[in-house]
Amino acid sequence: MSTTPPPGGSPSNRRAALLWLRLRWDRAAEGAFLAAAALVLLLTYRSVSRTPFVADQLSYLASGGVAGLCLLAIGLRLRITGDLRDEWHKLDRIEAALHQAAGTAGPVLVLSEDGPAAEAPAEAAGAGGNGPAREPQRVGSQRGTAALSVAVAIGVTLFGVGWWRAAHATAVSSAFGGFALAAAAGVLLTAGFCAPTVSLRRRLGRRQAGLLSPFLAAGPPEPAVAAPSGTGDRVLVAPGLTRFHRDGCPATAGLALSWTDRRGAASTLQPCEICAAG
Amino acid sequence: MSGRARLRLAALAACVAGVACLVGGFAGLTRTEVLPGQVPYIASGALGGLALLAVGITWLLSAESQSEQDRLSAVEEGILARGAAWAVASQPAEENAR
Repeated sequence: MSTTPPPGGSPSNRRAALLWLRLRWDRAAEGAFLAAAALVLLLTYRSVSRTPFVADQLSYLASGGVAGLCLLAIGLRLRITGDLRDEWHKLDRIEAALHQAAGTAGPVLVLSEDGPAAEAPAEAAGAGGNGPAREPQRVGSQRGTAALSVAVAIGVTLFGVGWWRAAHATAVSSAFGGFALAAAAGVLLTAGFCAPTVSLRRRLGRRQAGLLSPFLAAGPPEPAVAAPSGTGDRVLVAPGLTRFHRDGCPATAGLALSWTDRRGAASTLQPCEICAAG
Repeated sequence: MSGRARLRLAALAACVAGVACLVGGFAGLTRTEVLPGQVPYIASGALGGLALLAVGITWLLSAESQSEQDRLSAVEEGILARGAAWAVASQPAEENAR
């Protein structure tokens, strides 16, 4: 799926832009948050550089500076979670493909939630053989949402108190205290926004390992393809594939492969990124 | 140049600009002797540098994630192709059974 917005103009382009906005709302929101952060940081610098009083400068830093960095953190978090969600959906498609492959013939793969899958007799998967219907998986957890809510509530409160102290300070030391409090709130808010992505990344890695490692291990033995002499410029291809592969690539397990010239294959096919055939 | 290569380039540019902002801010800060003159360097150099570094690092991670998605696409293609090969291989056996 494209990540760049289509150009505006004609009604069809506008429809395409609306569709892009609906599908890639996180990218659009990321851009909006980054632009808002840049604007707030620029205004903060402008205000700070125009006043000669340190207490006033610190109050601007406590409000605009910290708020700008928080907006930036929200925007960047949206990009990271968008990427992770795309990977999650890709794994959904791989799981569906595994069920489809298991339904045709060969060993049937029983897929667990996060753990490794295991081979099972064909009857275990039911007569249809397409595997059990999976409930859509929710990205993110309730515990993470609760922790984020608490961190945001505490952070916003501290930020407000810090800004108020800095803005109403008559002495520089008091303004520094307020600024420090607001900065600590900014760190807490940023950590609160970004911490759930670490847990999500870990879950994604576990699911990927659980889903793919049995697939790579199970399956029919590879067909014996005699490697011709001097295979440096030769690659493996199979009917229906859009990529060419090196000998022993796990993505080609069970396929009827044939050797071909790399230059000829590269003109119509893409190199496999698993075996780095390019 | 592909979209991912452009993203990597923009990420590296943001990281370099971030480091330059931090170094420039530090240089300006040390050259200024009065506190009111130093704070604007914190607002521009430090905050701007940190923001650009954060953007650059995130975009680099995003480019890596997109590479990972391409690898997963290749795996999906391999699985679908293997399923098709299994289906073709099982057809004669099914016909004999009938």
